[in-house]
Amino acid sequence: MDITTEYMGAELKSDLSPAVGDKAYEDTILLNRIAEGDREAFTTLYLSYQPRLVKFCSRILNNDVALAADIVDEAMIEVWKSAGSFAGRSLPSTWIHSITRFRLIGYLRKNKEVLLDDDSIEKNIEDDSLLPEERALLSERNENIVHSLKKLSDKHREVIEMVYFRELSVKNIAGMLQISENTVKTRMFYARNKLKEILLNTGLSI
Amino acid sequence: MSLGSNNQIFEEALKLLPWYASGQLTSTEMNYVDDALKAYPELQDQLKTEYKIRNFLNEEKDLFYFSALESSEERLKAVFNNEVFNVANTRIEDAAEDQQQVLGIKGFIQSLLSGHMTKAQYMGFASVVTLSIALLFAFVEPLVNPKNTFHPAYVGTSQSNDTSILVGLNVAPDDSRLIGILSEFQTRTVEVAGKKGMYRISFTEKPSSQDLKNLLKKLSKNEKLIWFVGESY
Repeated sequence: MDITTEYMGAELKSDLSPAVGDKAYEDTILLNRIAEGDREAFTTLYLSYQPRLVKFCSRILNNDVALAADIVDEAMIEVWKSAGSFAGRSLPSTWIHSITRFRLIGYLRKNKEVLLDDDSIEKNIEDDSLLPEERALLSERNENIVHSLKKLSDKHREVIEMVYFRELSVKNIAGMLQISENTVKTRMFYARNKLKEILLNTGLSI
Repeated sequence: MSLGSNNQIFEEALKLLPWYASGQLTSTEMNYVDDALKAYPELQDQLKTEYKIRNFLNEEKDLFYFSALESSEERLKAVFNNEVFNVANTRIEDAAEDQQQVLGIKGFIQSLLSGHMTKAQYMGFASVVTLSIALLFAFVEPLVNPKNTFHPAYVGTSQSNDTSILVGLNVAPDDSRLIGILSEFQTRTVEVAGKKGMYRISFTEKPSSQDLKNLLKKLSKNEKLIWFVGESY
């Protein structure tokens, strides 16, 4: 959506000075460039916001990170389309968060049959989105852990998830994966060793 | 579950530790691990480690799930494949092409005129040429450019793409809820001069009558956002 009004836009945007906050100032400039179709600016903004937005959405979606990432991508596409309408009346981060929140609520309403008049979900999501940005940011330590955990093979990741998060028995896992119980135990043995090695390498005291 | 050699007992018990820690073993297996724990102090250390791993993963569950996701850079590549970015590309390429054409014409005229006219003659000639080119393009360009459609004057607005609606907003036009509702369409919102809070939303591509009807319905339900909505006149 492209919004043209005479009273807002350029004037308010130019009022935003570094004193308001470097991040807000830089993001406002990025949004202005995005409004002109600057892909490089969008790349910078996307890489800056995507991880924290995915984290925010995945919490609401019970750790469904893949779905969260899809919703965030849709929201960021909306940011690309609507950057020209950013009037500087709120911080860029608040604006981007609220677009994402809107997408998330839309998804929840559509797929979980949340009543249109039910404000509780909106309120909960809103409360969470108002947390300081720093709380949603992945710390450097966490980024290292995520990076290291990527080294787990799919088979190891699968069995770890079944044992630690779903707390399934050996028998149940064997039935679900259609492998023998001994194979389950052996696979988990190696997966656990790999996981232990990864966590030790990231400086955790295991 | 029978006890084998020392190494076998230790290894088998070690393999069962994750389920021992979560209480997901049969009573026979539980007893087997209990006996092994008494016999092997090293196994007790392994059990402590097991609890630490378990606690860490449960506290940082999202990190584990995050690690299964493609990197932000990879996601961004996929995002750029979205058609909205391709449209932008086409526009930029078109603009560059148009600019190139203008520069070419300018260069050609300059090469014809260099040094043979006074300034006044040059200005007069340039005006005539500019007017001629403008007239020529006005008639010819719509016929040769496949992107354009030709509308005879009498067709009027019924086939025009210039559909718009009027809305009276209780919120700023960049309100994310409004943007969300309009996100299915390519729109442009302009404040109506002299009417505070009243905006004209025009569609770059004319929506179907059903889509327009649905949109008006959706907008009219949002009383917090909108106090008036209707088709433009």
